[in-house]
Order: sequence, then C-alpha cells, then structure tokens
Amino acid sequence: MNKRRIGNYQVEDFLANGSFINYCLHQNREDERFWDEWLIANPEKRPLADQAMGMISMLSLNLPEKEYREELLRMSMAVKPAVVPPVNQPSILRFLNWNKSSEISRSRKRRLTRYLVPAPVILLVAGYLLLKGPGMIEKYNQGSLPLSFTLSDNTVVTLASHSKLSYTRDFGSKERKVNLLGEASFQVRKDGIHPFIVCEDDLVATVLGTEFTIRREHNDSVMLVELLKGRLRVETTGSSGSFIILDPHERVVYNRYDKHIFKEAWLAEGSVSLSNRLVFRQNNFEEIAARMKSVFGITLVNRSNKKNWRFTGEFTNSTAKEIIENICQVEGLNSESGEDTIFIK
Amino acid sequence: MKSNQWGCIVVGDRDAFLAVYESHYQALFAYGFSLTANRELTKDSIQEMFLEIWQTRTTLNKEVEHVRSYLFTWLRRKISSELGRSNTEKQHAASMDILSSDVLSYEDLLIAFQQSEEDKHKLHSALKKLSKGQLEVIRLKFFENLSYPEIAIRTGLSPRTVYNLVYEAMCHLRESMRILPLLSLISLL
Repeated sequence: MNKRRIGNYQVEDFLANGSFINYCLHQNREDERFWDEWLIANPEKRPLADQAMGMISMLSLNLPEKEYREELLRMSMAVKPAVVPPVNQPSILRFLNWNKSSEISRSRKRRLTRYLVPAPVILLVAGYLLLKGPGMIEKYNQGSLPLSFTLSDNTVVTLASHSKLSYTRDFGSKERKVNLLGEASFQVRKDGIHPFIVCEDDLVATVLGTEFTIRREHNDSVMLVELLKGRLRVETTGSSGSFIILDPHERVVYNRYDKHIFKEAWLAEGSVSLSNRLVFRQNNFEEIAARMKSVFGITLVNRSNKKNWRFTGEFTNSTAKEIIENICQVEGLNSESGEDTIFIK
Repeated sequence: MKSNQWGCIVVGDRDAFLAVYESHYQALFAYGFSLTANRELTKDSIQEMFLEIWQTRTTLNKEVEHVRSYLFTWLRRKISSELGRSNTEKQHAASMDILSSDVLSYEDLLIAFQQSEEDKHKLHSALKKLSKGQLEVIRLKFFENLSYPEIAIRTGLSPRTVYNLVYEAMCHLRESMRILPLLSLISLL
C-alpha cells in the first residue's frame, strides 16, 4: 500500500498511513508500540511525524495533546483517593509524598500538600503514564525536557526526551527490574536483597546502590553506561556470562553492531545533563526549525536562497543563537537574531 | 479486557476508572463535538458524565459489554438535556430532534473546531478545494476511524483508490495550509 519506504516518509506519507493514524488515535496497541519505538530509533523523523500528528488530531476532531492532558489531570484530581493509597501505587502519586505524610504532623502535612500540588502538573504535561497490559507500567517522556520521577523504592529516574521506561506493576516486591528504551540516569536506592537491574537492548546493568547514566551516541550505534557513584556490573545478554565491573568514573562503551564491549575512564563534565544536549543528524532546515521551536521556543526563518543543506552536529549547553551561528558558519550562511526569531540569510 | 475494566469501576477501582476515561476520552470528545460544535460544552459534559459514573458506580450495571457505545449513549443523553436546559424557548422534548435532524457537516465541524477566525477562514478555503470524494474518504478515515478495506466496502472503491484519495487530499490540504505553517504547531502545543 505504501509508495515509499518508511525511512523516506514525508508528512503526507505519515498522514495517509493507516497504522500511523491508529497510533495517533490510540486505536491499536501494536501500532502504538511500533511507532513509539520507531520514533525513538529515528529521532530525525520526529518533526515530520509531529506535523502529521497535529493534522490527524485536527481532522479527527480530537483535542490537542495539551488540552487532552489537562482534562485527564482534571479528572484524576477530581477523583483523588481520600485515604493513603496502597503500596503498589503508580509513582505519580509517590511524587506527592503521600507515604511520607504519615510521619509529618497534621498541620505541616496540609502545608506540604499545598506546596506540592503543582508537581504532578509538570509531570503530566512533560510525560505520561501509560498503563499497558495488566502488569506493566510504561513511562514515556514525550516532552522536550527530561522527566524526573521516583520509583516505588525511592530510586530517582531522569528520563531523557523521547525515551521510555517500563516495569512491572509489582516492581520492588520480588526484583527491581526496569526496561529502558532511549536514555536515562538513575540514582538507585541501596537495597542489598533486591538488586536494581536495567535492561536495554543486549545490555544488562545490575547495581547495588549507585548513580549512573545510560546514553546512546554516534547515531545510536554506541551505548554508554557511565557510573558516578557505587559499583555496577554490566553484561551483555548475548555473551556467555562475561561481564564488566565498573567503579566510579568509569564507563562501559558498547558497540551495538559488532557487539564489542570495553570499559574506559570517564570524567563527569560538570553539570552537563541530558537536557542540555542537542543532536542533529543530517537534518534539513525544517527539521532544525522544529527542534529549535520545541527546545527554545524561537522561530527560525530561512531568508537565504540556499536551501539544500543538511546539518550534522552536536551541541552541549549552548544558546539558540550560538547553535544557529555555528550551523550558519558550517553551511556558509549568515544569521540575524530578532526577539523571538532568528533569520538565516 | 474492556468489560473487565468496567467491572472494576463498579467495585471502586480508581485506576481502572481513569484508564477507561483516558482510553475513551478522545472518541467521546469527537462525538460530543459533532453534536454540539462547542468545545467547552463538550469538555464539561464529558467531565460531568464521568463524575456521575464515579459517584453512582455502585448502582451501575457490572456487565456492560460495549463500553464505548454505552458511554456514547450516556453522553448523548447528557448533552441533549444540557442543550434543552439552555434552550429556554423550545420545550425540552424538542432537544432530541435538534440532535438527530440538524446534523452539522464534517467540513462545518472542522471549521468550528478552529479557535481563531483566521484559522477558520484559512481552513474553509482549503477544504473548498477538495473534491466531494476526497472529503468523504477523509471523513471516513479520520472521523469515523475506518480502515482502508472498510472504507473500500462502504464506498465501492478499491482500497488502493481510497488510499490514493486520502493521500491526494492530504497533499492538497497541506499545500493550501502551508500559508499558515503554524497551524500544525498550534494544534500540537
């Protein structure tokens, strides 16, 4: 039915693809899973897919995502449980400190609750909790900023944009195992009986009280597991029992294609977090403009006749102006900054 | 699975309640909007309806087989009584007729869904450029949510032709709306 290979899809191809429409309208679990994962693996296609999603939502008379999330939040606030929820609650509620509230005196509890009310707003807008299947909880961060949340064992997870974490509903009772797709960092709560296990692709990281990050680099072909504190054991599922033990400030580099794995020294670069990194891979003007809009809120206008360029590069802790100036330098263009707009000439 | 979830609501499972709300919300909104052409009224009616469901859950039928059509019927009743209340001149008996006879066309609904006058205007002229056939297939595809084979049966065309009609319609729409590239961004944000 499809004229093009999916990798060459333009907005129209997404718009007419039955499976993609099902994905946007949440009509079919299989399709949702497929496109969630496809978009994580092909981040450069996201601006096009986003455009198509906006159009599909409009043609289907569906509420825009933001309004829809607000309605969901309104309802979950309206039917808030009156009593302290049971132990295996979704972590959205943990964020409110419900469990700890029993340790705090009544008056203080009330004050604390009031202060904390805005927290779930941020959480729900930035990412959302999917309840898939009877036993699985999935967290997918569809916002452009990293999403931090606490698991039921008090492990703090920071999930990068367009990454997904899933775990079973009974997480923590027998084992603490999560599946990751994308990038995340973890501050794992120490628990000698239940090791914390992160699985991503062929990599399995097993930890006992530690802080570490899993990243992907070089067009997703390389995965990094970087350790800040504690001790970490990393193994590949394919290998026959071989593993690497990491000490702080060491990292594992894993090449997903030749399955080569080794460890090297690594220095944490100050406060560089997943949030401040912007990666372009062979992106054209429209794609870059969409990213700049979503990350910085600025509008990029192309006033140059040169339109056939694609940019590849990575920025850390840069301003919108610096990024555009850099791109212009590489592509032989000029730029001029207005208030919320940058012009390329 | 679905009817199972419904049974859980009746016994007071809040997670099941919110999961049902989440999974049917957009379909209910589209349906409600097609009856009212009024965004806020539709949102409020859905909200009120679900609060009623939650508050009266113990008295509800446990064995609802088709949750979606059950909710659609409930929403339709809710909206018609809402419209009847606001419509002081007409008797409430007439409100049911408003819903069944005076159905707005898909194009009218799409335009009414836009929030600014400028967007309404742009979409109006963009839709005017589509053929009757193109409009019908995009209505069946996006609003009625039918699959390509289902639309083929409904229209008597081949699935390939239906796909091509949708594809062409999308090209035309995007072409004429490129004047307002912000539109897709706005509906996203």
